[in-house]
Amino acid sequence: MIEAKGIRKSFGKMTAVDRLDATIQDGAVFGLIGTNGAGKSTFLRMVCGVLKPDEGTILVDGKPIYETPESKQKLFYISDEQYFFANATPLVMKRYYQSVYANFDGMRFLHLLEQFGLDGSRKINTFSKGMKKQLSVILGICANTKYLLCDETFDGLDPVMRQAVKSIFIKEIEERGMTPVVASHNLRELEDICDHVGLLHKGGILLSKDLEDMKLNIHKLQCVLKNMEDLESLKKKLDIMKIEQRGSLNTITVKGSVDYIERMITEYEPLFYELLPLSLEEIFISETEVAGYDIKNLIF
Amino acid sequence: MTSKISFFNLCIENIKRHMWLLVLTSLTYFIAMPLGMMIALQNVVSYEKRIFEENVIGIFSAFFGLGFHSVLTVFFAIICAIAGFAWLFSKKKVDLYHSIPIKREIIFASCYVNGVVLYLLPYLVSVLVSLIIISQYATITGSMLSMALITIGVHILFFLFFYNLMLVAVMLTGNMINCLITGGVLFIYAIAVRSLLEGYLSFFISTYYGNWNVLESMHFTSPLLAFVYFGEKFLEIEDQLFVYMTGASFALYLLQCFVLMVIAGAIALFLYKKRPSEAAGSSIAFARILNLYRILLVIPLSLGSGIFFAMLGRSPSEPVQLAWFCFGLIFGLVLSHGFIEVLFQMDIHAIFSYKRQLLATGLVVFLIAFSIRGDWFGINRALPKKENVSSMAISISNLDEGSIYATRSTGYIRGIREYIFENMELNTEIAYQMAEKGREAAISGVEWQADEENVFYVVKFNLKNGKESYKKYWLPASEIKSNMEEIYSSKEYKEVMRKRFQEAEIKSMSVMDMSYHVEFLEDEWIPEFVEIYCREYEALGLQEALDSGIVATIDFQSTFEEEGRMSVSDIPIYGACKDTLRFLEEHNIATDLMSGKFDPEVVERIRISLDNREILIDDREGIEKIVPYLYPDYNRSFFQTSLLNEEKTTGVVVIQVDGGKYDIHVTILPGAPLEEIIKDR
Repeated sequence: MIEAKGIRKSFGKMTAVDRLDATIQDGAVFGLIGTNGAGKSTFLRMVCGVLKPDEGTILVDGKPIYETPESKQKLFYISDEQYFFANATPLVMKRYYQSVYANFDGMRFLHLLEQFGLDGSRKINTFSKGMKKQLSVILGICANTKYLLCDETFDGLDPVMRQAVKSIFIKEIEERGMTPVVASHNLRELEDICDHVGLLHKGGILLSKDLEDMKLNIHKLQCVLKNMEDLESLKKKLDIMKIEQRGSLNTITVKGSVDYIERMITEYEPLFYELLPLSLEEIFISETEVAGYDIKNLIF
Repeated sequence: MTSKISFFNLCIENIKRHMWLLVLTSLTYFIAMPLGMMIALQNVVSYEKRIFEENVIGIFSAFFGLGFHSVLTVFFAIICAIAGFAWLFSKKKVDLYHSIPIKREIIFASCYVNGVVLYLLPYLVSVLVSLIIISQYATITGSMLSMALITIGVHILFFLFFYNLMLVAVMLTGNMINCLITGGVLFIYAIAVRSLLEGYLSFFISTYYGNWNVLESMHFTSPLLAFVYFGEKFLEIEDQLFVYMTGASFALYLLQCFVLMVIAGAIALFLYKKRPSEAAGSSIAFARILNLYRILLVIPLSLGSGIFFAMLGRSPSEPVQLAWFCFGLIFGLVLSHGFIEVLFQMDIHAIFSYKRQLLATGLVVFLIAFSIRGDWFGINRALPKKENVSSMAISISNLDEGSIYATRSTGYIRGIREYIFENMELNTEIAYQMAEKGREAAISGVEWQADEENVFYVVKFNLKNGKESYKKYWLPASEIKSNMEEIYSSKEYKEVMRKRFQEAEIKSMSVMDMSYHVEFLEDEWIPEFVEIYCREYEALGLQEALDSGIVATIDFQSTFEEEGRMSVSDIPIYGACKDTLRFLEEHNIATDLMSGKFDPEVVERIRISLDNREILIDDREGIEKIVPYLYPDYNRSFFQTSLLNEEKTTGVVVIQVDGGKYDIHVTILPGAPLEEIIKDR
């Protein structure tokens, strides 16, 4: 388990992460989503021991991570811009990582290279962006660490490769309990793979929940009510995040269980109502709108 | 956790990634040593045996001594330090290195070892191969081998010294440009600031005399100076071979350098551990020292600019001088502040940022500049109290000042002034008055010019507490002539001259007359000649010396057992030293011109400057009439000519002696029949 308590990190006058608490349980895919500049990369870099928090603690299985090789052996960090040695080939990088990660599986690396169609003797600086990402993932998987921290790794992968990587992740989770932590903007992709989601905004965690729990507790209610008074009354009873009205059709983003929402709406005998699940993207937008980050304000 | 095996693997991986550096060092040392040596040997292999052997020893010294390879040592120390740790300037690379499960100290150690190995391996291999090559041509003696081994050790020590200090620069900064600038600052900051201070004091404080030997006083402030100082102090050439003057001081010096090297390395490691990973790509790694960095750079740069423009804009008008000085200070302040801000923030628009800091720094700059310019500390007024002075020494410019005192065959020259200060102990009562007169003149604020009317002299005070103090003064000759006469006649003053002859065994001595004609004395004549000369010189009064003038000079060379050769020249023989001149005459040494006058026969022509026109006298009659009134500048000292007619007439005499022509500047004495000679010319 990775525990972050009261984490704070500033760069000069700018606070990148502000009093952040997060717990990443073992054996589940943790998705870290956030707005631009939310602090995802900073958080991941602190978790993998690159950055030292100004305040707070980060523990990996109960031990601090910063400058603790025993803890770092459990982590493999895939940066958004992974560095490969100049003029190196995948085999060169394999040798390097084999020298620093005790459990690095060289045979599996060669096998995965073949599976992904990457040439082990070809210079990495001739690879495309996607191929480099693939190589990063292969190196991370073969390091056989308990935690795999991926910073926007899925960006740059073609759809086929994304599926392939997801399959490997799932297999690793099932077989040896690997815990991937994936930071991304690509919410649709995270939705397929994540079990738990942490939503970062302006350096703080807006919410951190199981994805299923999140989806179970936030819904889109489309309804047509008899009159405006019913709508006003309904507003007081429900935990409404957002209301959009188009004519008589009300689209309400509301928190709460399905049963509770249905019970409330049926009291008003609406002309029509429908409860729809939200996609992760819709949940993300709604939550951040509440926090003041209104996507509409960015559209000119 | 990293086992020894994986540390070794790390080092191997590091070296693999720096193969370009290995190729560079290997190639450079291959060319500089084995190949260069083979070429040098090939050039002399056809020489006659004895000459060949001498040349081989010379070649051995050149390649195994502290020669041009020292430059390579410094160069590669800087390159290896930067190459090994430049990854700290890249966020991507830092993410990799600091995310892997290896302690930072281990990463530091592997990169450190990498840099050292990439220099050491090619260097040692080259040395070994060169030794093998040269051993085919000559027998390597024990002293040659020990010299080579010491050189290797010294090179390694100073490589590490430079390497560690450059690492400090890398750890303090976040990008290459700032790293190089910081490295340069670390290497030369102390000496630059000291030089600036010396410049200000010398320029603005009229009595300030900077008896400052940069190597002696500052060699530990920079590995550069430490290296140069080591070569100056502990290296000698003996029979073409470099010889280290080993002993307690040699070992102590190397130990001191070693300790400083270790300290620099420890600081580099400490900074590395404290250095935040996010410093990659920024200007400075530690934000807290940014302000300090600014101040330490902007203030000296501004002051430097101030004095630069003050020197350029030198003018008789005080307001103009002041204006240039102020302009220089402001110009330097704004420029250096702007440049540093642009460098730190990597944005040209930052040139006028931190305005409050700019103002505050400006205030400090002006305070320092004007406190020195206005002598707020009273340096000109200050004089050690007479009761605190144990003895004094005075060096009077142009009064027997021509002698040069060389202590080393490698060419390290010390002037007569330094020798006087080391050896003269004048009675305070006699000398203190000259200092007091000089102080009064300085306080009055008159700017004396270096011309024939004024005498320049430097006074050294040996204080009872063991310290020394120096002052320099200018005064008209007429004001201090009586003091000078008293000093000149004192036993303590004259003793210094005799001491020069007694320092070591004199190996050769020559006498040169006014026409630059040189003749050598036989070895057996020297002791008697020296005794006669010293006796006469010690009895000579100042006026007597001035009236008779210098007719010839003595040069000689001595040898010390340990310090090499000493070479002294331009010791004056005055016309009043009759016994000395007689001795020379009896031994047929350069007697023709010993009278101090020109032989008309050797004078080809005379050019005279008179009433803004040049007059040429090239006829025998004219020459013979005027020659008795020609007073060569060679004989002249400042205070002598101040006693001559103020309306001086000068000229140039062209003489032909021993097949050569010489131009000698002369003063035409009062009484010369100039009007008659130049009539109708």
